[in-house]
Amino acid sequence: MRFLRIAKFDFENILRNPTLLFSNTVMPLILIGLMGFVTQSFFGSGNMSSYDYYGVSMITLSALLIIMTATNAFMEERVKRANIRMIYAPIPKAEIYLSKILSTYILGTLSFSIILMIGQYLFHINYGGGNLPYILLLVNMLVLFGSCFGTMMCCVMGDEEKASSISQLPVLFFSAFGGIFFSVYGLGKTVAAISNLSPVKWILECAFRIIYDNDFALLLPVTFSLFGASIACVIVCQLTFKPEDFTC
Amino acid sequence: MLNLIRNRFLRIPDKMHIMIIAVVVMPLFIGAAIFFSGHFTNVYKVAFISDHAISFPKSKSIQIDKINERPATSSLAMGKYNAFVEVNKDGEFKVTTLKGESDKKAIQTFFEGGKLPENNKTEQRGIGTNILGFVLMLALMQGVALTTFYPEDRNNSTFKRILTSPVNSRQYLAAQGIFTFICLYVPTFIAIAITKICFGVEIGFGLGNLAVLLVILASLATAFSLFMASIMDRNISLGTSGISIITCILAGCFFNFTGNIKVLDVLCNILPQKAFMILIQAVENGRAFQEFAGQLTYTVTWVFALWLVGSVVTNRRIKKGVY
Amino acid sequence: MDTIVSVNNLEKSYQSKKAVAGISFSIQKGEILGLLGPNGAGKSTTINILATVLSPDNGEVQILGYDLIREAKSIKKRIGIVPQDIAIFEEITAEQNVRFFVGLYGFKGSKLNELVQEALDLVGLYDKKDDKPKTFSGGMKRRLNIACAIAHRPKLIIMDEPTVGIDPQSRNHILESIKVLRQRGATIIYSTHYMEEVETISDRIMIMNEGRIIAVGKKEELIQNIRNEITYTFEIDSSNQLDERQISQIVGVTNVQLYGKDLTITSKKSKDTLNGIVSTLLDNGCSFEKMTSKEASLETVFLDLTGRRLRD
Repeated sequence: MRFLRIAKFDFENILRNPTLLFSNTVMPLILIGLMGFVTQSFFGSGNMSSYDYYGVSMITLSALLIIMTATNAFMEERVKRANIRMIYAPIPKAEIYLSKILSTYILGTLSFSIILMIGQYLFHINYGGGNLPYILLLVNMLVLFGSCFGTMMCCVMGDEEKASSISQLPVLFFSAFGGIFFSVYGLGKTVAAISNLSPVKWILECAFRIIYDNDFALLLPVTFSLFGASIACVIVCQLTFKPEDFTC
Repeated sequence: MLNLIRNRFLRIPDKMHIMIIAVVVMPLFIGAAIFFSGHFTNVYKVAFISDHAISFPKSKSIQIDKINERPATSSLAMGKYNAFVEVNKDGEFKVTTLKGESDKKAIQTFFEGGKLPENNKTEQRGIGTNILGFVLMLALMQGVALTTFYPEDRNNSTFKRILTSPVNSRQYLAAQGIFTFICLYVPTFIAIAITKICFGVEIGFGLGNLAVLLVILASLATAFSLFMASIMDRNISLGTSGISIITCILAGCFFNFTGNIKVLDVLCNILPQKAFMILIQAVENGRAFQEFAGQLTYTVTWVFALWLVGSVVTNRRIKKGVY
Repeated sequence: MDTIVSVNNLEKSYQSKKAVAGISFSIQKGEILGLLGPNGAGKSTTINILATVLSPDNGEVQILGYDLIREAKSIKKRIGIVPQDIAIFEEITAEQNVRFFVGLYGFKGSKLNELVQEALDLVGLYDKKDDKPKTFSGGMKRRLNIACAIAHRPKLIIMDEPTVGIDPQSRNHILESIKVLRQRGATIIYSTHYMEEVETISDRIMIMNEGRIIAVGKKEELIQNIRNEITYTFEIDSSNQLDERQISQIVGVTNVQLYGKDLTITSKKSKDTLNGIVSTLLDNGCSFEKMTSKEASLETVFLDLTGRRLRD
């Protein structure tokens, strides 16, 4: 009960931050619209338009960027000051970071699910039609992972600014090598092979297989890997989180 | 002024992560991007689905994998293949692709006649323009991280304290601007120059032109970051990244596009990045800077306007006693 | 005597609230002016205006002969501000901090070195000059906060609550430093919440309340006005039955305050008044175990003028 109250408090804190709210609601739609629009001429009239492609890739990128929301919700200067009281209260330290993970996850999962549904039913982006629930599950897991990863970076770094700027690097790297912006196959076989190391590549491949081939072979491995990685992040949180980081 | 700039450099050790990203990671990233874009192949990767042995003439522009079964459609989406080609009962080639009509026709022509049509590709932008378009977005995003001392000074009251000395806010912002500019300009220039000289990658510009273009690019990023840091109180980095990405896409930093929505066209043309992209494309094509004085003036005007607005907002807030 | 600060009809409002409501005062060379007032009295607004970081809505201010609006830069060169917040860079050494702030005033080379050493010496941090403030105690940070403000040898030093929340040792050190600065010829405006600090170091005291100056003068002069007053404090054990109004009505009583069991009454020094108070208390069923009395002091002056205690 107490934990839920803390999570609710954290959730409201995110809602009160217009930048975070915007980047998790309107921003993904703008990105899809823009990328789809500017690359229209590269796509034919076949069964995948530019909007279908960037609908998947930009949602993946935005969901991954929930890391920034997590770091902000955890240790942004203003939030941090209010949170100082929490470390003096008789609550286990796990509740402090778990509530940030939960609040970020709830926001992300609600907002990205709505975006996917709006995308499919209002803007007719191909998110798999009847297979949409599987795409929802996939994005949901990605949001969970992002929330855990961002929180973990805060625990490790003890500082929002450091956590945010350093987390951006793997996001940028994995996105570029995962085919978010362009196809890595154009860069030759070596790069294509390297891209197999990028989790983003597997998420995209998994999504495209579900949408275009009705093929679910990657769904379980990908979702379980994300879930496992999320748990690993939580373990690192528990090992590294020092409540006194809030005080400095 | 020098004292203020020195103060920023003295404080670097505490912001090592930002400096490492700015001075090591970003240049490496830019270097890698240039290196790989130099290897970007415009080859059609085609899966030819047939049980029969048919041979085609070899071409540098098309790479054919002969397979028996049609691959998953998702391999088109992922870009593993650009097209599937099948032969129907009448011996006609059927091309399935996600690419545009002209590409589809080109592949069709190749399979039917053994040759790709001449100039089948639409005119592509030079590699230098693509590189600087990408660098521009990174610089716009990165600039604000390098301006972090300014919001930090405001929060810690040291900004107000500095203003009680003979230094005014314009001088403070100028010193911060010079610091941001140096940290953006020097590593970027070195990264591109090293990639060009040591790895022999063609970047589309001579070092002289590159140096001048980067001055404009870094000035724009600096002015933008000072502007954002002045008008925003929190989440400055997130806000700046969002605006940078959207405006860079619209200005055609990554893809050259022609839309048919008038409002959007007007909007794109207002953006300083658009004028900058036109300028660099022209310079890459061997035209002189002077011919594009309009674009140059327009971009520089933006630099001053952003700077001015940032300064005015800061001054107004000081007078109101916000800081 | 030279007039260092001359303020005439100064006004400043935030939205509809008047933070400073037309105040006038002057400060002479070598003076230490203690600025007292409860929270929201307008002290910080006045200080920020004098420090040239906040523009006044109305009024004339001259500092060291320069006009505040037209010659702000000349003023800035000659004044030093110790802000209420600890405005120092935590990540660079104490010496680098002082060096930076003195550098803003255009000093270079050996002169700069000399000033930095002098300032650190004065606040007793010279032996810590190579340490970073993040390793300092609160008191040491406050001392460094002062060193950064006085190193360029300003003629006028404005201190805005420089001793908030520090240990007695650091506080004494700061108060001693202020006396030294005055000996060296500086004029000082010292704003604080601590009555005893003002009593110790100020030549003159200015009391502000709700944006106005309600009293100004030497400590003795202020007390003189209420010399005939006395403050009694009773420790009573049945406060719930006591009606303060009854005591207020006794002839000679000027102020009554009840905090828990402590009843504080300010009244004229008169036998009849004391008798009246005691009998009213007894009539109301109050028994008291302890009673103390205090002659007029700065605290009672303040209470008398503002109707509240300084730290209310």
